[in-house]
Amino acid sequence: MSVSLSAPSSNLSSYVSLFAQTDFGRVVYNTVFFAVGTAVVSVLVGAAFAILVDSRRRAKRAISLIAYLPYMIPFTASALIWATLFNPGYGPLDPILTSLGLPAINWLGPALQLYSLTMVGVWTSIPLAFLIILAGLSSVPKQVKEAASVDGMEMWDYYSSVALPLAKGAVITAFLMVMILGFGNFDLPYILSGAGGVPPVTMATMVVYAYAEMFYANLAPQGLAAAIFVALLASIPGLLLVRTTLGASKDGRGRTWLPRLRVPRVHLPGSRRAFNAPFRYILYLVCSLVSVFILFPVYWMGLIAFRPQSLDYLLPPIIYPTKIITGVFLQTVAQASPEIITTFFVSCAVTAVTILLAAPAAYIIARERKRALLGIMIYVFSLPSIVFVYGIFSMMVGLRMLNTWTALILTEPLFTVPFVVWTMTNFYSSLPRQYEEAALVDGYSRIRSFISIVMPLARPGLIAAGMVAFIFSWHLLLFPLVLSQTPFSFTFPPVGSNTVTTFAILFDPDSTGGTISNNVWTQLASSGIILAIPVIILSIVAQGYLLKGLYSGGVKG
Amino acid sequence: MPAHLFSGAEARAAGVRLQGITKKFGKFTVFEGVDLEISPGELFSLVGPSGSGKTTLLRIIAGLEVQDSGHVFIGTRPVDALGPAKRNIGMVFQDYALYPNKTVMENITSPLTVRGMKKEDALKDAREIAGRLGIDETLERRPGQISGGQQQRVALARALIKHPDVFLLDEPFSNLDAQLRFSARKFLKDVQREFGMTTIYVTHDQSEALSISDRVAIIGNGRIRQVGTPKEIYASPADEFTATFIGSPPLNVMYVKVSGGSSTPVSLPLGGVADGTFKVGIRPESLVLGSGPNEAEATAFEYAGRETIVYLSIGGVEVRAIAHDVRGMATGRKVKFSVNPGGVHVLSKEGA
Ligand SMILES: Nc1ncnc2c1ncn2[C@@H]1O[C@H](COP(=O)(O)OP(=O)(O)O)[C@@H](O)[C@H]1O
Ligand SMILES: [Mg+2]
Repeated sequence: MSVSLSAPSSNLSSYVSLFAQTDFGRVVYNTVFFAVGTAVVSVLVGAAFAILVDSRRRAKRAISLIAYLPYMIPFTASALIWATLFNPGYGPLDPILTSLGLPAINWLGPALQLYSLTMVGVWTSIPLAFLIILAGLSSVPKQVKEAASVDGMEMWDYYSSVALPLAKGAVITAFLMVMILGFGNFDLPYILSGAGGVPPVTMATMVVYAYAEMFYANLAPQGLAAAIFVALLASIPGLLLVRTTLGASKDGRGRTWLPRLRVPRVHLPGSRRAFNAPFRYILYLVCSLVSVFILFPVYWMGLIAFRPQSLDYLLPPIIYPTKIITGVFLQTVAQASPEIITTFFVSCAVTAVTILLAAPAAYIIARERKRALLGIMIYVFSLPSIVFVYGIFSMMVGLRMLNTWTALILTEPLFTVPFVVWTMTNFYSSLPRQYEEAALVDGYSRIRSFISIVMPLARPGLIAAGMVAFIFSWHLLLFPLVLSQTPFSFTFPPVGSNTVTTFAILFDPDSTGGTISNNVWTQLASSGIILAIPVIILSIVAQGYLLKGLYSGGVKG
Repeated sequence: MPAHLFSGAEARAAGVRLQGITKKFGKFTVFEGVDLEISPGELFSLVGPSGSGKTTLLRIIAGLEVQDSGHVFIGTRPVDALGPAKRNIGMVFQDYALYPNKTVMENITSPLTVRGMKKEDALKDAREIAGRLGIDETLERRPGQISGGQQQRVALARALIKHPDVFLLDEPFSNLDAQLRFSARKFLKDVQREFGMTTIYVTHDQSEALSISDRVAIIGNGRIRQVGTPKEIYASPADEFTATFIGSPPLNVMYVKVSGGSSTPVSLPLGGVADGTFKVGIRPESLVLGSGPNEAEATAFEYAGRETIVYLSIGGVEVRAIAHDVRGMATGRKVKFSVNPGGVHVLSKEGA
């Protein structure tokens, strides 16, 4: 344990040294490429799936489930699985490429790793883009859709000239949200670059770079400067998101000082009729290919978790099921039980704290139209967690609370509260006011009316918000990693604030502090599944809420 | 005004025939074996209480909903296999369903441009029809920037511009306030006369249906109850459902005992009815107050402007009557009255 707590320098010298780093430009480039690239591609793909689902009568649920699937796999698990897919020589992608007559690719080699990282980013972000855009498309009134079909509009006509223009707010929201999460994403670049030490400059993003400066290089000021820099980058989509969301909210009042993101009206060329026939085929083709892209890693995770370890590092790799075993999975569950217990109790406590703080706040925002407060919540949500982590770490050191449950319970609401306030505000706004008004007329006080009238009405929303908070907390990686000091004092069996995510990335039965490259796939995939199971269960239950909460309104006549 | 646009409208109008239409949602049968024949150029109303399946039937004609069995013909052509765009129908939705992101002009021209008509031609047609419907001032605005009455006309224009064989309207005036609704009704009737298209009009408001239609179909409890001109429906309702559904204030329903040509508790002109107990309906306006063989206590008065609704207690049953002159009447006092024969309908015989 050798972390010294140097106070952040109050002058600009750390920024100067940051900018003087030769690699700095490359890291900025990586960060922007990853965030923007992920946002552009996942919005395009998410929109394709959303159009497909919206346009179909049958199989809506099955297609939605495919597009939604990566959402159920926490980032940590996704990154671990993709790392095995990318394994040079032994990964399953090479034989697939060669069987198609393409050359094998060194996915995580210096030349391509940024693109591979972005590809994984897209894989994890499709569901969010899909959900938000689908919510936008489905908010087009049913009669307008029918009027379009009576008028003779076909698929392309309808989506290009009616539905997508009406769902413009949703598309913008999806784009900004994915970009924000891309700027702040720690899990994917950290794990794909080897989950430890200083990441290779060819794929390091600002967040991972800042983390390495803070906790490996012992250069906290530089790390903080990098963190603030990425926060500034993320503020661009963050503030635009605030503007978009406040501009689209139901009462539509209240001009804010923020500039509005203006998207020019696009006039598509020539006769639109020519697009109708190819559009459908292109859509089906794209969605089929992307479905394979989405499904394969999940299939692979199931495959390698439940097969003997001896089948892993073979040439050529085996990519179909041969022998199924469950022993390793069960053994991993047993080994992870301290972390499972920690994560479960911490997540429950975080959920309780979140609801206690967020429910009244959201109610006040919704009823008193405290739009500025909502804007602040959305903005805080958009800040990368790396900007908070060093301060929190120092604070916990000072309080001697490092590596405790309390440390996690006190800090994780920083992420869950803004998001839950945001979604609950939408929920409360959709509740009719008349019940509260009736209660006030009957002589209830505001507080009593909130407790005995509003809370019961809001129960479905609260339950779902609680599930979301639980999911968030369950799959956080950066905070447990920092607050358990795992990189520096790894003990096994783990104690304190090690969670299932830190277990998954650090678990190695043969050594301590091992990285994924020498991990056992069976155990790695098993811990990925352990991570995913609660999220799968809860996200199926909370799906409807997410749809409703994330994007409401925006389409008005 | 160029004459080319709607000169052929009369000739284009096509009748609509429904044959044995059945529709179920899951286990719930909305209606069963519906047969209807609507003549070319006719303004035909489909009226029934809410939930009776009017919208569903209209959507089946439009091709927006698929029937479980039976056939739809437009003109002589069976259209069961055709989508809504191929049936050449115009439709006005309850909430108008204008495209919020398009201007009024783009809304009106959209059925033409989407079929590949040249933009200049579409604009010309749109200007003409907008002129005739009185919305030419609004063409550059968005639907959100014009009044409800104007939105209504834009929806009519969008439905009319493609010369539909059949024009379908689903409660198009229910979002307008009472005053506007009155003029919109008249307006629709005029437009329909002028353009001559076959029009099917859905409403739950029986007085609206009676006032604008050439013919009316009453739909209720999964069946078509009666089809006829407004006069026929009002004067000789085919069954109790129709008799009680039509009329405002509603039909008075009570039991009377007939023996030897006279009836109690109220003396009704029931020529040729055998002895027994009958359930009868009496139109409020057929009770003529002031003089007559009957006498009842007035229990309440409801002032309705042109007329007054007088509540009478007849044999313990509260009965509504319409009076134009209530001088000399007061709550608790007896009122003499007679009953006009045209307003009495025998609904059923007790024990039959
Ligand atoms: N898509 C649907 N799914 C299930 N039930 C429906 C659907 N559409 C209509 N219904 C039911 O069918 C009945 C008739 O509906 P509708 O045609 O809208 O009646 P109306 O227009 O006469 O008020 C109602 O009981 C309604 O609940
Ligand atoms: Mg209806």
